[in-house]
Amino acid sequence: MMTPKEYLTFAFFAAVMIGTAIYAIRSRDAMHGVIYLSISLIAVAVFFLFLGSTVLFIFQLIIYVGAVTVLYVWGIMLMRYEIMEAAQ
Amino acid sequence: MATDPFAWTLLELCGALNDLTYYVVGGIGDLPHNIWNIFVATLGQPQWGLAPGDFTFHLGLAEWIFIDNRSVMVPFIGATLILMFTMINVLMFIWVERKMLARFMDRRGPMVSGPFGLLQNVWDGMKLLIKENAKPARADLLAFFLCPIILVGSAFAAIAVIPLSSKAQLASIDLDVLYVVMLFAFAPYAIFLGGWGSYNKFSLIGGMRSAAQMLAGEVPFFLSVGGVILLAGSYRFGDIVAWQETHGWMIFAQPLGAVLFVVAVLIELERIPFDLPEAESELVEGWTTEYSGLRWGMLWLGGYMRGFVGCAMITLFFLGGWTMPTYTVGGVMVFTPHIVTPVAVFMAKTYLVFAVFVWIRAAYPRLRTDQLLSAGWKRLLPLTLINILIVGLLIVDNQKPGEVVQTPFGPLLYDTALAWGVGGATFFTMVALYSMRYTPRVLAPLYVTARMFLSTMGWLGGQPITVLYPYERLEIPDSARWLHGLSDERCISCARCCRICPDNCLNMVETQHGRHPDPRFTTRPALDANHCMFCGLCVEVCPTGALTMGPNFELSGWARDELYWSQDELMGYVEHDYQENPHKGEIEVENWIDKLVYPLITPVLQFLTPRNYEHAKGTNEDAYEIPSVFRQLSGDTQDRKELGMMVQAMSPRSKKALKMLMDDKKKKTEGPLDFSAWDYRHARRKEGKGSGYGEMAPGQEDKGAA
Repeated sequence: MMTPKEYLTFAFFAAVMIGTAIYAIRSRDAMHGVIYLSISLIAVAVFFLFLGSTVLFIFQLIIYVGAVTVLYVWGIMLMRYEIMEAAQ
Repeated sequence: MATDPFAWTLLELCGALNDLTYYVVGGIGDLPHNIWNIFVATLGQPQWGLAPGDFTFHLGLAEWIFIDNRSVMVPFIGATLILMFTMINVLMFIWVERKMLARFMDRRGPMVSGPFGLLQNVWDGMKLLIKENAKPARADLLAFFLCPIILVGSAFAAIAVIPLSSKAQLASIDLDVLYVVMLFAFAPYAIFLGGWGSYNKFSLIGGMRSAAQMLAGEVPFFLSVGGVILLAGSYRFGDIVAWQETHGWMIFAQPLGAVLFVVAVLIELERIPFDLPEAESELVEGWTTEYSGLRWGMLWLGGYMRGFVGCAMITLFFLGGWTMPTYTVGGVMVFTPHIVTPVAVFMAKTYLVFAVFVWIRAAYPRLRTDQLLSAGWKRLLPLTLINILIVGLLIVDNQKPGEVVQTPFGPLLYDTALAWGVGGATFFTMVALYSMRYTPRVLAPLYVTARMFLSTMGWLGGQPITVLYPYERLEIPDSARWLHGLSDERCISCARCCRICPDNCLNMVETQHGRHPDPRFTTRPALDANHCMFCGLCVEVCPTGALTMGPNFELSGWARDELYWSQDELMGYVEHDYQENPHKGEIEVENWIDKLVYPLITPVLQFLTPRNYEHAKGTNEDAYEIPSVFRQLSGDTQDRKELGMMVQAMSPRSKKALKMLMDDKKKKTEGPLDFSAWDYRHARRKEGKGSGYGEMAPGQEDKGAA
C-alpha cells in the first residue's frame, strides 16, 4: 500500500514519462524528440528506483541515456542541418 | 499561540548557534546519513517531519532546522561543507594549471591578485558574472540551455560520491563507481546538444568531434575501471581503497590498467593531447564558442570539476586513495599516516595527478581525429581486454593466501607479484613473437614520448622571460634606435630629413625661442610619431649629425596630440611627458615561490636536461657557429677534420640550420661566400661602436649602387 506521498511522486514521474514520450513522438525537430526521449527514459529509471533496484536504475541510465541516446544523436548528426548549407 | 518567528531573544540566538556548531561538528562524523538517504527519504518515507500542522515557529528557525528536521538538515550541512571544500579545491586546480603551464612556457602565470595570484580565478568568475549572457539569435534554446545544466549537474553529482577520506563521503550507494561512470556517460550527450544548439559551424563540428571522441574513450574507460572492480571485488570506493591498504597500491597490481585508465580519463576530460572538440587553432573555441558570460563560466567550472573527479578516481583506484604506506626500517616507523590527516593525503595525491595532467598538456601536441579514434577503438580497447585477462589471472592466484611482501609502497602479496610477472612475461613474449616487425614502431614513439616528457620538465625550471612592462623594463641597449633627439647647435635647418622622410612625419616648424630673419636659425624639424616607422633615413641623411635616434620607446598616449613631438621636445628644451619607470615597486614582481623554488629545482633540472638551458640562456652562439663552418667550407682551409669536429660540437638547432643553409647554397650559388660584411658588423658590435645598422664594410659601399 502506497502512502499518499509515494503515490504522488509515482504519479509525477509517470506523468513526466508519458508526457515526454508524447512530446518525443510529436515534436517536429528530431533533436528535440531525442531530448524528450531521454527525459522519458530517466523517468523510467526512477521507476526502477521505486522498485528498489539501484543497479537497474544505474544501468538504465548508462545504457539508455548514456549510450542509446548518444547513438540517436549520432544518427541525427548525419542528417541535413541547414547551418551547413547557409553559405551556399 | 503563534509567536513572531523573528523575535529571537539573545538566548535563543546563542542556542541556535550552539546547535549549529554542535550539529555541524556532529554532521561530519555522521555522513553515512547521506544525500542518497535524503533522496530516498524525501521520495518515499514519512520522515520528512514537515507536515502542515507542524509548521510552527514557536522556538524559532533553529529548532525547526536542527531538531525537527535533524535527520535531513545535519547531512545537508555536512554536504554543503564538503561541497564547498571541493569547489575551493577545483578553483585551486585551475590556479595550479595556469601557474604550472605558465612555468612550462617560461611565463609567470597569475601573480597579481592575491598571494601568488590565487584569487585570479575568483576575479575571473566575477568578470564572467557581470558579462552579458548572450545567446545566438537562431540558437535552439532547449538544447542550448540544457547543455550546461546536464554537464555541470552531472559534475556536481559525481562529486557527491567521491570520498575525501573513509568518513568524509557525502554518499555511498554501494555502486559508487558505476554511478560516476554513469555521470561521465552523460557528457557526450550534453556536449553534442550544446554544439548542435548553438547554430554555429564551429560549435557543430566541435560537438561532432566530441561525440566521436567520447564514444571512443568511454569503452576503454569503462573496461579499465572493470579491472579495478574485479580485483577489489567491490563497486565502493571505500572497499577499493581498503583492498589497496592490505594488498599494495593497485598501480603495482595492474600497471597496464593504470596507464589505460589515465589515457581514457584524458580522452573523457578533453584535455590536451585529446582536446579536439575545442581545438583553438581550428575551431574557434569548439563547442563552447557561442557560450558567454556565466554560462560559459559554469561550463569551464564543470570541466574542471570533471577533472577533479577524474584525478580523484585515479588516486582512489590506483594510488591508494587516502592511505599512506606504513613501513619500518630497523624497527622504527618511518612514515606513519596518522600524523597527516587522510583528507590531506588524498588531496595531495589528487593534486599530484593533476600536475601530471598539466605536464602532459605542456608536453604533447594535439592528435588528429583519425589518430584519436584509431587509438581509442583499435589500441586502447584490445589492451583493456588484455588487462582484464591479466586481472583474472591475478584473482585466480589470490584465491590462496599468499606471503605478504613488504615493498616501499606498502605490503604486496607475493602471489600477486608472481602472477603479474608470469602474466606480463607471457604477454610480452606473445607480443614480441606476434609482431616482431612492429616492435620498432612501438618502441620508437615510446622513446620520443618519454623524451618529450622529460625535456618539457626541464622548461619548468627556467626563469620567466616575460616582462611586466609598466612595472618592469628591459635594459635598453645602446644601439636602440627609437624616438628622435635633435641637437639645436648642430642643426642647420637644411630640411633634408623632412624631404627624405617616407612617411612625411618630419616637418620644419618655426621655433618659439627666437626671432631671426634667416629661417636657417628659426626652423627646426618636428616629429609626428603617430606614423613614424623608425626607418632611420632622416638620421642617415643628416649632414651634421644633429638628428639622432635614442632609447626612448614610450609611444603611448591618450590622444594623437601626445604623440606629436615639437622641436622643443626633440631638442630637450621641454620635458616630454616621459618618466623612467613610473610604476616601479608598485607590485612585488618576484614572489617568494620563485625565490624559494628556483634555486632548488633549477640545478636539478639543468643537470637532467642540459640542452634546454643552452637555449634558455638566450645567448646567440648559434649565430656565430654557422658562419665559421661556412668559412671552412668556402675554401679558407681544407682541414676536413677540424671542420668535422666543429660540426660535431654544434647544437642540434645549429646543425639543422646548417643543413638548410647548405641545401640552399647548393641550389642557389656556387663558389665561396662573402663574410666581410658580417665580420665588420660583428666587430663593430663587439667594440660597442653601434649596432652596425646600415653600415657597410670598407670597400663594400659601392656594391649596393652597382
